[in-house]
Amino acid sequence: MTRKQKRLMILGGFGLVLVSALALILTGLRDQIVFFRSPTEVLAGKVRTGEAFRLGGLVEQGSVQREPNQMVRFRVTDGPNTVAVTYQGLLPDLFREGQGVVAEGRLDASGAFTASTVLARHDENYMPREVADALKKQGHWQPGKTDGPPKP
Amino acid sequence: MIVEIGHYALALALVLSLFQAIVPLWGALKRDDVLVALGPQAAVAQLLLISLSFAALTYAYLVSDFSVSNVYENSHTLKPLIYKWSGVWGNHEGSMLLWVLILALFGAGVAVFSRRLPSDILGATLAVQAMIAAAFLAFVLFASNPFLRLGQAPFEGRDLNPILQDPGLAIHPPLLYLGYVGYSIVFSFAAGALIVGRIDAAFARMIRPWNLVAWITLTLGIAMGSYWAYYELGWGGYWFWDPVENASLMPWLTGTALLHSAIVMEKREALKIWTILLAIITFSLSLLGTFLVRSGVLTSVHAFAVDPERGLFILMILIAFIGGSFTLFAFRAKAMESGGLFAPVSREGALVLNNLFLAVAALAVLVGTLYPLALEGVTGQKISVGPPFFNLTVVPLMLPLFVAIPFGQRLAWKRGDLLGVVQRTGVAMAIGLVATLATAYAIGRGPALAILAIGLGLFILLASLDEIRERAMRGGAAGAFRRLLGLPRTFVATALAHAGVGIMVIGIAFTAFEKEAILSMKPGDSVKLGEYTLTLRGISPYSGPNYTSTVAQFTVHDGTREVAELRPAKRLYIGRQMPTSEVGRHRVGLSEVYVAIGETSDGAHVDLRAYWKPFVTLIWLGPVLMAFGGLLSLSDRRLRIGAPRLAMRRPRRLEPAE
Amino acid sequence: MTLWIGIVVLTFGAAAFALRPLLRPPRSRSSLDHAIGFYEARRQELDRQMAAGLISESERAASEAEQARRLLAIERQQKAGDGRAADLRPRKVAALLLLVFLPLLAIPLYLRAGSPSLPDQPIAARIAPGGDAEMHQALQRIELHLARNPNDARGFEVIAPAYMRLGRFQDAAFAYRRVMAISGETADHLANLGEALTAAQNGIVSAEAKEAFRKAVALDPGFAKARFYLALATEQDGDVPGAVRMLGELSASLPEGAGKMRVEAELDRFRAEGKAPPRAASSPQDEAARALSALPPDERARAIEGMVDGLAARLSTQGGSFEEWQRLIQARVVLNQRDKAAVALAEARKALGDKARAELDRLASALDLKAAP
Repeated sequence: MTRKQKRLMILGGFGLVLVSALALILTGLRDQIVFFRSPTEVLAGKVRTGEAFRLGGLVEQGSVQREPNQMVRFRVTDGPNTVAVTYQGLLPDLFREGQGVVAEGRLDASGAFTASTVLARHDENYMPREVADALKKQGHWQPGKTDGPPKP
Repeated sequence: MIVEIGHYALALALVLSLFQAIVPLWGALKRDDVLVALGPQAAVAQLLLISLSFAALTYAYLVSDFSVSNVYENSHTLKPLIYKWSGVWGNHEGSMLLWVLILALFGAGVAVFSRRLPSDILGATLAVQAMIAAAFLAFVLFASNPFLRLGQAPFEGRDLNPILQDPGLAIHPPLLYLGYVGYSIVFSFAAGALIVGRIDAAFARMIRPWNLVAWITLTLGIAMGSYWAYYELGWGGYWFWDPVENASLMPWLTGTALLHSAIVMEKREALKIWTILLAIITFSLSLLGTFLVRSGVLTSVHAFAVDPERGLFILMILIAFIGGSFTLFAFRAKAMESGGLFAPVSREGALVLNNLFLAVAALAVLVGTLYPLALEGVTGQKISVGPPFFNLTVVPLMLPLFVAIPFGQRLAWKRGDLLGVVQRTGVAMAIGLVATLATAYAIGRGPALAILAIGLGLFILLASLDEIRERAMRGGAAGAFRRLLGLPRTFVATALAHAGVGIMVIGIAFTAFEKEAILSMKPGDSVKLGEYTLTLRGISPYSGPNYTSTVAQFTVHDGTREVAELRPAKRLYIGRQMPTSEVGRHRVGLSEVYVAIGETSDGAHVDLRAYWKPFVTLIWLGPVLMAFGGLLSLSDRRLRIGAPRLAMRRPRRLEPAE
Repeated sequence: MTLWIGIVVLTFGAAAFALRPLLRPPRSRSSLDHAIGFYEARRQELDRQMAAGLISESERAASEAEQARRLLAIERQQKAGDGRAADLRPRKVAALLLLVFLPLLAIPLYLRAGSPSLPDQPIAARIAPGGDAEMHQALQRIELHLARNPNDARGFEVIAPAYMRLGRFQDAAFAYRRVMAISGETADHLANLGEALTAAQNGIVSAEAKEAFRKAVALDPGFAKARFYLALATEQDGDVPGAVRMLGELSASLPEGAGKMRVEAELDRFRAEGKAPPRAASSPQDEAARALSALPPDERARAIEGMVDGLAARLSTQGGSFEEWQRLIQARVVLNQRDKAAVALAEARKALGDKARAELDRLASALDLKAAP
């Protein structure tokens, strides 16, 4: 093998790996991402039935119903609009009425949302950023209410 | 007074770092060794000053001085003593102080061992390190000062986030920071070598101990964080592809690549440009990680301070250092002559392959982490890139890398004999294959990929260990023991670290076979988990020092024999009215029964999530072994040289039959 | 002062430490020395590997040849400029730079956000018996206790006034509600709940508070506190004559004392606006009061303050009876000069000594006042 052939071989191998990696990344970005939607966007028909997405907002006061077999029903609201959610499983520690929540799942044909995961985060003051933004958009954001620590 | 002295020491350290950023560099360029010698001295002084500062803040925590705003925000008189210690860095300001402390520690480390270094490289390296220190000291003093005081001192603090009140927190961040920040010194060496314009095997030799220290601690830090998330969050997972986890994984991937490429550089003087580039990239990714975590631009569980101003500050530091170093790199890249040549199939070639896959995997993680930010910035759409993306991209990139480990390790320098190597791994391969079939048979049905991965892991593990045996036996069984002891420690270290990879792969593969039960139980109920039966005995309240909790008592039976009692709990921390989960775990060998409870709405039922996790401990045992390999390699102070195999030799054929 | 001594020591200590090599120049290695040493070490390593049987003779020879080539290259590169500078000027400049700029930059940097005048305040040193800190600590303990024993009425009864004193009115209201949920409603607790709710609303008697007062009066028709707040509520509802009538009845039913004075103070407010009838009895004091109330509001305020200041001056120079001190303190409180009231209280303690201690204590707690230090 001449030096030139060797170099070509190495470069070819490099190129092959790089191209397939890029292809993987691009496929992943096309198929494996989920969009974040607020209840208003869901009701506006921005989500197709059966498409996986993340629903974010506040857990509506008084909407949480626990049923046998760890079934939970609650409603997620961003102020003007709400979407009903059903979820089977253990809720996170910080899941509470009136608090921010992000649920990942799909809409069924009747427009009900079935969550596969429900997220609430570590910090008790924590409001998922997407939720905060969505609420701000709807004019329901009250920064004072989250009781953040005073900044010196 | 002590607190104020700590504050002043920090200001002094900043001015001193400016001095250190200028004078030794000047000395290096003017070739004045006395000016250069001011650098190590200033670096040690800086470490002393920042240690004083850190000690002052620690003192404020220990005596609960609530006139210090940071203590008030993050401590509490009722907090157990160990969390008063760890609370120092369990918050934004304190953790940044720890960050600069570690930075100074590495700077002083180079200073102390400076006698081994040529004076011009020493001067330039310490100057670059001081520039980083100056930038971050300024950040601490101006944007995240832990010494701000309150005029009216409150009488009680606001408590540390209870989820962070855990021994894991006491060690996870310092380890992670040692790793992150450790790459700063590697970066400084790279920048220093670029400034001086001499990049050769000696450079790779200089960065080796620092590179290893950073890699070992980062490896342990990531493993520790994963283990902490596993037992503290109660979700039973060990890796969530959370942006902050990614932020630590990216420098680890490129740092691991650097570890390998530096070997080629040290032994064969090849891959110089690439190694320098990796050193720059790795620290840049560490900075990026710091930025992502500290600015809170990403939605993350770790974002305990979300402050755009701070984010902007770190972003500016990030741009300055990445931009500066790449400009320097572009200037000097031409001057770097390429070193030893090698054939595609050779140890060098294998290491290049390793670098390629690691670097591309880091790229995939980077894209997945930053894409949501970019998309939101451009279109305003919010998306989340979750585990499916990373599983799709990173896993296929890592698998070929893993497969290549046993072969690459055996290839000769300069030109290798792939067929011979394949033959030599034959035994390990056969055992791996048999194990795969046995597993498939024993488990019956299961995901084919997972069964294959178990076989792969076994193959890596066995082939790595077998290489030690093979080397010791080379030349006959007589004297094998003497040869075993005489093996270079770096060689044994490599084999052990690679065995660690195999162990980790096995552990991860076995997660596909875990048994899960999510259900609601009342006392007396039982549920089956694999071989074990879990029975709820009762639910009772309990009060701790600063929390109340609901404890569920379970017994674990193996057949009819009771083997363990588990007490998972749900705690409510009073200071913050914050609930947390305490997981109940029973370890059987390397496997575990894992129970986390949820709501006990009516007091009679408890919702729970229970798992049987076979061989789960291997997931963390693997990285620990890898880190041990690193430590062993660190202890070997010998030089490493790859003697090239000559083209005309045909050693296999010429050797007499044994 | 010790702080500044510490700062000076630290600054010059750091400078001296950093500049030490100027006095004792180190021995260092030139780049070429280093390179030669490095390759020499490599050659020895090759020998070792050879001896261990890890490489063959030909491999060793090839490797050594490679190294020799590289060493030559480095030597060529280094020869270009390896003159050692013996120029002392840069060293002097560096030393001067450090000695001048270290304090010149570090001190302002520190003062930008530092608080040199603030001492350390470890919590242990601040917990003096009877001090605020002790109360906070006690509060913490009670809170903890209550979180675990949410049905302890006595605990909530103890904690509620403490919350009131600290201005945590919502918490106080919660505590009073808990007490009543556990042990039933009493006129006292209802009125206290109403008071807490009112305080939480900055003096506005909300519908909820009003309901509490109403229930309290229903349980105990003569209960002055509840009636007083009901009168205020009536005024806030817009029924001024109704409020005046209720206050008048209340005043008439009360004996002389702090309670009555409080009611009269409210009535005086209405009288000043001409919405309430003047006082019945006519004493010299009332004459003065009437003359005062004829003045325009700001002049009247000034006149009253003048009178009170006069009283204060007289009492502190010549002394006076308990009643006179009491009048002064109460006047200060009514004028919303609580700090001056605290001073007056302290002076009264000193002037009257032991004989009026109990009465002063009672007055102080009724007015929720602490003597100035």
